[in-house]
Amino acid sequence: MSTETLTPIAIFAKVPRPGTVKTRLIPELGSEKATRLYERCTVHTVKTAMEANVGPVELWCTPTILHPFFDGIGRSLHPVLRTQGNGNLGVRMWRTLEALLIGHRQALLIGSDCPSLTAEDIRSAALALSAGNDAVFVPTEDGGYALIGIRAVEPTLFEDIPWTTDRVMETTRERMRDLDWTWKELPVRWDVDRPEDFRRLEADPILSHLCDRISRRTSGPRLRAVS
Amino acid sequence: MTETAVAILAKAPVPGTVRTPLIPLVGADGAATLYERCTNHAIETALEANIGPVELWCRPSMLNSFFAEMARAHPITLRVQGNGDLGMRLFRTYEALLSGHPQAIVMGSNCPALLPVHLRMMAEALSDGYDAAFVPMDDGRCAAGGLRKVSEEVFKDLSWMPGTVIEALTARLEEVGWRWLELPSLWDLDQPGGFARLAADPLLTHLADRVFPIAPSRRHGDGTRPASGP
Repeated sequence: MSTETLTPIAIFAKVPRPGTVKTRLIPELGSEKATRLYERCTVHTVKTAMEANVGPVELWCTPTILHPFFDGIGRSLHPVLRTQGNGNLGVRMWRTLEALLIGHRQALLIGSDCPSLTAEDIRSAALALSAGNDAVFVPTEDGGYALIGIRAVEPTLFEDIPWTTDRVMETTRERMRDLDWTWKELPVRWDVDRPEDFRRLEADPILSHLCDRISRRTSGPRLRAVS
Repeated sequence: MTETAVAILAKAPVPGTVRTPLIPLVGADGAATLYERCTNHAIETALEANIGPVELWCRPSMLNSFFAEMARAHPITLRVQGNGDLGMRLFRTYEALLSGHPQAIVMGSNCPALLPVHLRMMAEALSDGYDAAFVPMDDGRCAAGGLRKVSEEVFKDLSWMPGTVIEALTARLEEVGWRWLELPSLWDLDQPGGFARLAADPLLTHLADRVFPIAPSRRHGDGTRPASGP
């Protein structure tokens, strides 16, 4: 196995501070449980990336890696831990992929909001790049993407992208057409952002364990289950 | 040459817990200072070897300002060591490195005599088809070890007593049928006379700068002799 055949993977993660992660689920779950869910999704993503076994797995953290949550993931799963640095999301993505491409022919970047992303998706993405595509994506149902893979960094893919809207994937496609790039899109997955996503997660036979003991906030008197 | 990832195993430099054999000689703070400098020196050695990415593997946690400082000062990444005995931690470290790199070297920081050229020779040996390559220390422990594949059999319940490590390790390698290269052994800082040797070495004396042997009357009565040159 030579280095060139390896595909490094960066995972973007935030310090799990209540009130700053999974904010759209806070009205439904409360900020503590939303934070637990965020942590579980992040751990799940690191495990998925390791299971894919296509190259080194790096957890890129913001604003710092010096947090017990990252320390704990580090101790159990041993990803490389790096800091994202400053700048908007596009700049940070660009810088991360640039760093991964030093010494490697291709690299992947994934978020930690998309537990429906599978190890098989990651392997397919690595293969799509090895097969000669300039880029590969796993689009999400909300118009974004959960995974980007590239072989060379091109700033226009990351500059002035309307990141918080449903036009991320479409804008990125336009940019790639302008660049005359070839790209592959893998099956669409779904992010866990909104209350309806959480209900979908709870009902998912493979992923429902991520919701264990994170029940929805109920109005009226609570029932206490005796187990 | 094939890329070789280098992991430096490091502990949080809490005085009293690191470089303990030197505490009777230079005090707990002096020993901690030496530990920090030797770790920094090990990182510089690994970077200078220029054989692949350099990682600092932290224990028991990376939540320490020294590790943050090292990550800021050098182009290295941090990882956290797992729990378990040294053998299991080594196994997991090699396993993690080899999932992302074709060959890997793991080293400590107690052997400032280890040079970039030693690391390069180990990396070359691995590229040339050796399964393992290592640099022993004079007391029979290991200063640095390189592998291009890993097996739990090699590390499980291995003896880590000084004087027996290399013997036990080579016996295991023979059992699993791996080819290995053993480089000449080096002196280390924790052995008697190690500190004096460090202070007297023109290339390494800066590591001992302003770390002084404490007065004999203040030493703990554990038989440690005042440092004398080799």
